[in-house]
Amino acid sequence: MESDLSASTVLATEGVVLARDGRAFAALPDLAIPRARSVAILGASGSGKTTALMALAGIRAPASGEIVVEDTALWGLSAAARDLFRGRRIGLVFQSFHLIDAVSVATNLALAARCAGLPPDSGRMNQLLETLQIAELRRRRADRISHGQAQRVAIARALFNKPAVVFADEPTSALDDASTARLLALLKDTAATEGAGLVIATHDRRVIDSVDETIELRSVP
Amino acid sequence: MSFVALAFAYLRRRWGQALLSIFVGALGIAAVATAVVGFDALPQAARRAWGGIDLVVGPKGSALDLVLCCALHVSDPRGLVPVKAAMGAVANPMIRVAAPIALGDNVDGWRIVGSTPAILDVYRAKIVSGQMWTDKLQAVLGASAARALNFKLGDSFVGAHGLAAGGESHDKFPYKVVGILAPTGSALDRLVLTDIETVRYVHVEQAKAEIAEKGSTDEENVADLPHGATAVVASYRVPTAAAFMPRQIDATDNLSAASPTLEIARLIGYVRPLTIAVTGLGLLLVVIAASGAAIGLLATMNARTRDLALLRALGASPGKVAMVAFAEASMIMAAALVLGSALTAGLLLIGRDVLADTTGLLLQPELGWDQIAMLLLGTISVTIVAAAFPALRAIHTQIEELLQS
Repeated sequence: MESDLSASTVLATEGVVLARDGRAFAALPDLAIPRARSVAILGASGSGKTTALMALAGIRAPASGEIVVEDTALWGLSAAARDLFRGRRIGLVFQSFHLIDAVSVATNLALAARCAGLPPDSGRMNQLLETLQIAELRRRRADRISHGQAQRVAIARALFNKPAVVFADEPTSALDDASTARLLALLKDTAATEGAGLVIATHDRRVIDSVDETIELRSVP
Repeated sequence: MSFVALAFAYLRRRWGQALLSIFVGALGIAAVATAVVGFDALPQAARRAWGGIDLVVGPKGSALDLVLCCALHVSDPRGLVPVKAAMGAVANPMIRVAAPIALGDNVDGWRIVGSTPAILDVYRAKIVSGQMWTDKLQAVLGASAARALNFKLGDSFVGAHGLAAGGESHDKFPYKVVGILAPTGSALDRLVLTDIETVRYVHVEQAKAEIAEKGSTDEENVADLPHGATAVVASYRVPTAAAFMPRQIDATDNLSAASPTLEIARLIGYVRPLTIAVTGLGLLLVVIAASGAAIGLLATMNARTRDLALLRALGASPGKVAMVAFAEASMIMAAALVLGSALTAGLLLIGRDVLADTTGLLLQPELGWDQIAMLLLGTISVTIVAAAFPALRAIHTQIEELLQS
């Protein structure tokens, strides 16, 4: 489905209301995020940040409103098309990274391509691994790398398919100040270099200074 | 890396758990296959046990005893019958062939049976090496007896008194092995055959020697031996003989007739509750084995739910996620099928030898196409059930749970 939103905007929303157990409970301010811009969705635990991220990533439908990634209205797609679109145009960084332990770092990245129905691009893989300074980990199994290395692999995987926008859910919740600063810099810089928008859902106020913009969810009475 | 290769990587990563699942699956498949084959092959083996014997003629007494002693060779004889009278009783056009048998000695617990060459015709047995006896103290061995005793043509042995090992040896009367029979699957395989005159000769001469040495003998019925036999076994020419011959023989004063088919059917009737219980236990074992295989596989597959949900989050379609689950489950069950088939073959081979040596029953296990299809369908069903749960869970997992975990 085509949208008339600006082509430079990678993520735009309009009138998005979130529901939990069939009841609307929060509303997302309208967004228009251009390439290489970072936005933090702030809110206390249970305020609906993750639900908002799920709606923006095409995983759980909002109660109402429109979400457009690049020029595609996400919830106008069929379920199968939305899955494929998510794999190709949306990057996800999970709080616990969720790498697949049984396989190597390179395979974790390659699987991101396979899931999206794309052939893994080894040149792209080398470039990302070098950018993130983890090229030597390429063949190492994912359960044999450190926490910090796993963060970088998770970011590399999120960016591997050249997404338009990357969503990160509470990426700093278990980190000290120094680690938080390093991770945010890495996420923001890499996403900016790749020309992707970055949306971080967090209750961590330390994120505020590291992003270009912050928004807060509004409660729906 | 393809999704099938990912499934293989999972197996390698948790090889211990995978091996356990394969082993449990293989045990289940082996239990089911052995039970299926055994339930089918055992009754057939039992029917073959008495070979071609349709009628046993012996002294008055229990017909079942007569069958157990002289057709299946698992119990002791009750006495002697005059050979002339017994052979006369079966001298009828309805009888295809008949042979007297004389029991009394053994070699290491394997029964020595005196008879005539017609005994081979009763059982439709063939000599596989050597020849039939032509003189006294020559022996032709059944296949199981020859294998267990490790006797070859030309070997010598001495018999011992009684039907169980440990009796007094007839040291002065060594036998020579002149022939070995092909396996028949009947009790004949466990017998050591010799000329009926040899049995009489050994006992009469042994008695004479004992009397000369001690003034008395332990040999029983020595006076009757020259004219007696334990029984006469016969094979009908026509099935209708079964309606006339036993009744005709039972009407005589000193002879009794027994049909192995009837007596064993009667015996099976007596022990039917036991066979039902054994069958029930077998079915229970099959259910437990199949459940064990499914549970083992399910435990392995459940460990994949998080990763499968991750693949969904990364854009994999439900079909691709299901493919990973089914590929891993299929690899486990394929390995279990191979191992289970090998275990089944091993169990049946061991069981066949043990059964042949202890009971003379020759198990000829064969898996029919219907049984193979049943086994494959069962294995595929277990695989589908075990893979479906984690695949469905992964497909329907709320990915936000994964994001927050």
